[in-house]
Amino acid sequence: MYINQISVFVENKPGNLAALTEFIAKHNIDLRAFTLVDSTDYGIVRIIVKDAFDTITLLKDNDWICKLTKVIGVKLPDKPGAMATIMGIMAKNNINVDYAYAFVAKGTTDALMVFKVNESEAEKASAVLSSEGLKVISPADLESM
Amino acid sequence: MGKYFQEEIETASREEIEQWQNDGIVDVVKRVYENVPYYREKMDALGVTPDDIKSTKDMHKLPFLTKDDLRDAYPYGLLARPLKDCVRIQSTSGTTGRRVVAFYTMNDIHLWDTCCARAIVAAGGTDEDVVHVSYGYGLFTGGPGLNGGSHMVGSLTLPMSSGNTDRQLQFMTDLGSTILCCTPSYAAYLAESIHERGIKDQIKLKAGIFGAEAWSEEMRKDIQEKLGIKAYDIYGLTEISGPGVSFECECQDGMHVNEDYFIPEIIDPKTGEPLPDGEKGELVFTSFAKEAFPLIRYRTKDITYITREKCKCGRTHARIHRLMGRTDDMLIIKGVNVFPSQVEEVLINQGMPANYQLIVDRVNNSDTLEVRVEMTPEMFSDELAAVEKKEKEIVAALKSMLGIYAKVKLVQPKSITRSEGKAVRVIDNRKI
Repeated sequence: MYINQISVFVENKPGNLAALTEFIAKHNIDLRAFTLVDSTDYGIVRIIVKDAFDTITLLKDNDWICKLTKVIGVKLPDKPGAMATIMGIMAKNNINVDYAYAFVAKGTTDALMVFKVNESEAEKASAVLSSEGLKVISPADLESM
Repeated sequence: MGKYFQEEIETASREEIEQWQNDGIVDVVKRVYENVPYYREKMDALGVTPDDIKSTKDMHKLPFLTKDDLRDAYPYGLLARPLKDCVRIQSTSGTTGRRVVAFYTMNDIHLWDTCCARAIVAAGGTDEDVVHVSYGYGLFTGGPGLNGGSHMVGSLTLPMSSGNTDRQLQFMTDLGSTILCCTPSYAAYLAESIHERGIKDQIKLKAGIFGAEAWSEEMRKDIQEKLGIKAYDIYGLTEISGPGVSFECECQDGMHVNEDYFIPEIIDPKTGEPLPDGEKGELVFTSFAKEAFPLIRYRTKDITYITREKCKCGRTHARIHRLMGRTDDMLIIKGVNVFPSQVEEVLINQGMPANYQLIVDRVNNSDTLEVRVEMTPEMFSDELAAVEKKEKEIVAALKSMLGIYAKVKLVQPKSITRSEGKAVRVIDNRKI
């Protein structure tokens, strides 16, 4: 099970990130998560939204370069060491994590972790997490978050 | 309609062509000497009179004309007919200095339309085609030229002009456009948009006539593949008439010059000496058949070579090779000659037919080159490391092609400046 993340290319120049966030606001896109990684000249904004397909079409039509990526979302138990548990499971199963970030679900104190693994291992990662009793998020779950 | 628009003229023998040109040069020199003081002064200064010109063999005695002459003589100084005989003005897309204006009588318009009609027929066009003209209209010659040629062929003409991609694609699908005429960079952009929208199966295009900017063989392959068409090069310049001065046939092996109207020469750009066929140099034109604005030995600054061998298509008119740069396009960076077309070749070889721009500057007395590349969906990844890897590959490929280091800056789509549909390829900020 996976959720769709949208990555957007943003050139590093004043006002550019504002242009993207204003675009998101103007079109009433409700963000579940938003992170930014950057190099000197450009950055990649990664967002999680409810309607990934509609949103990416809208972005592309307005000349934003973007890409859809399958990522795994998992609910973090609210206790110390929760993150270590998840990474431990990945390590034990020899699954490499490319990147990860966390966000908090709307109206709750539940922390959610998003991570990206090699596409060929996504199903396996999702399965082993479930089998360890962790809640893996589905696109439908995003509706209520 | 057959393979040629005017078979007798387009397949005439070399002897016939030479006869037209010999008669033409004698006539035009006489006309400008009598009617244009600017020419008379230039010829008098060299001690040449119309009597010295008996055939094209005497052309080397005549002075060259450059863009500076056209600017000096602006607006009416080179007019060879009374203004009342003129029916049209077109102007170049120059971004600096004074614009250059060209004048046309009704016969000149007819001559220009004929050139474009030959180009359309050479690209397979007939009176059953729908010709989609996405060149700019107005002072720029691209739109009006192909529009006139398309009328002459009898094709259904769509005067789209440039921009508004949604409308372009809607008309293209609804009205079944079969021949697309625009700049190659706009064709690449339309191809990408068609791909994105997944509407390729609704497109009926069979051919494209692309010109007004230099493009590479790789870019041709890319456009042909993406649009499923055959892409033809077309060349021209406002000063000489507009698009259609020369055009490609189905052999896609050089562009036929309309030699019944224009005499092409290749010269050494440094010495001005004529060069033999096959040797690369600056292209020079004499538009001997024009009435209002005939130019004699006009230096185009375009670099190419010429061949007069009969083409496999049956046409006998001389061919010029795809343009290989411009004498004023060449940049000297850190003492190395750099042509923007080399950068284009690198990007296409890397699988990225992207828009680009070269920014040259001088920092602490040392030249710097930055190549801006518009990000494309193919290049993009959700991982920084993957994008950085791509960037490094471009830097390495540029280094090996140009011999100097260029910083690569990935920028957002459409952020590179355009001027009348043409991407501005070079910005030189050096104060020398």
